[in-house]
Amino acid sequence: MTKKSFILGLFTSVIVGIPIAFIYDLIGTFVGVIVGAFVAASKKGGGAVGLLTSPLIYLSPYAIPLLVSYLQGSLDLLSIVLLIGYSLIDVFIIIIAVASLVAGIIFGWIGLRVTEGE
Amino acid sequence: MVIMISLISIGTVSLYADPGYDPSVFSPNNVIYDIAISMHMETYNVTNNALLSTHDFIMAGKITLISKRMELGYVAWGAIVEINVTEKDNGTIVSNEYFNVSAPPILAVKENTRYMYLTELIVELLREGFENVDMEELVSRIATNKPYSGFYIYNPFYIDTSVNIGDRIPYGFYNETRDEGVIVYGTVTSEKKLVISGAPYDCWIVNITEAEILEALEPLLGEEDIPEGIEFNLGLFYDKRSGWLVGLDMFGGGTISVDEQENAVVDLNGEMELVNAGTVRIADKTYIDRILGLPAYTSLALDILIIIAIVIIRIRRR
Repeated sequence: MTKKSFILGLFTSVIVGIPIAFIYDLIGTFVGVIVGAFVAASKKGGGAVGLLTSPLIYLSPYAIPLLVSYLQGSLDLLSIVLLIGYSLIDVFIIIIAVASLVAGIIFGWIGLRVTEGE
Repeated sequence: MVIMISLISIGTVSLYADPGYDPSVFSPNNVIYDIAISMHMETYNVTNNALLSTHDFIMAGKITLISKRMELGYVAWGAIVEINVTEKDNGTIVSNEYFNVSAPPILAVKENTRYMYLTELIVELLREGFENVDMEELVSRIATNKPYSGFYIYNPFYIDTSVNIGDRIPYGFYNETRDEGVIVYGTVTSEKKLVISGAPYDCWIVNITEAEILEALEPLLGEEDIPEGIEFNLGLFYDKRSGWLVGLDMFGGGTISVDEQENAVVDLNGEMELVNAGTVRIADKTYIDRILGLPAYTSLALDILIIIAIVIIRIRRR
């Protein structure tokens, strides 16, 4: 794994995952993590991509529209802080993050094998 | 690994499960409706038919729906309600209040159904009363909140996309524990192209009249308590592609006997319009397509292209 492939994996994961998450959150999260980990191409990098990006992708269909509403001025700051704050207190996010860590490790390893041509 | 496989498989099954619900309808975010309801009541003397008083009730504002996954198979729904309520007596404003309430997602919608369950937290709040709430304890329990099975409400915000003219759509609530409830059946009466808030929609029109409501209430009220001379019609407009509610139109009225001396003539009107479809995939456009002004399926197509490009680049580097 290089630093470059890890950072590229982080970005790819978010870019690929978010549009699918707007249709179905769980599928978007795992597709994003799998593709990001594949790009990171290492077990460590893939695991880190899964752990770091999965909460972002998973919460994006909830948080992005709220942020857009706030930027458009149709939602006040207190409402947005309360609603996004609420979304962070969630056991399910921990489950998703752990499952994504495992998926990231597996697909990071697959990415490494593909890159090395073994 | 087992968790991951089950998360992906449940997600995939949910996407293609019958009956035909669009997956985006279970998790609406930033879906905004404009709502306006008005009621005008005139009280008359029974003997000489003289007008005694008038009373107006006007409610206008907007409702924003938000949602977030609660657990596998359940999505928690909440809302931001901004409403202005005005009351007039004989033409003079007697009260004018503005309400702005942000309710976090605490109602549980079961995926691939129209069942909306209360949650354990809400049931406890209802039992103990909102005035005895310990906020610290409440916040600590939000993370582990679960659907309260046994009692559900039929979600009025979406319907199955495979409906046809003449089909009956249930509304109301049902208590599974007691095996009783109040269910009003609306009927899909027609299909129409409607322009709502400037956007065209191909819609199913579902109608509920006073006859259907009285039929549902008859077991509770008894035949002698059912009021007569009341007219009511509620038209609900659902987008045909997604099954999502894009608007409603309501009118009703009638003459009610207040006491032996007075009669009241009531006139009720209301409408609700979808202003922003948010994350619901109406006309095959996702939220990202809509916000960026892209044609339908563009963001998905780009996503697939990126994935294919990554796989090709990785393999060619070997």
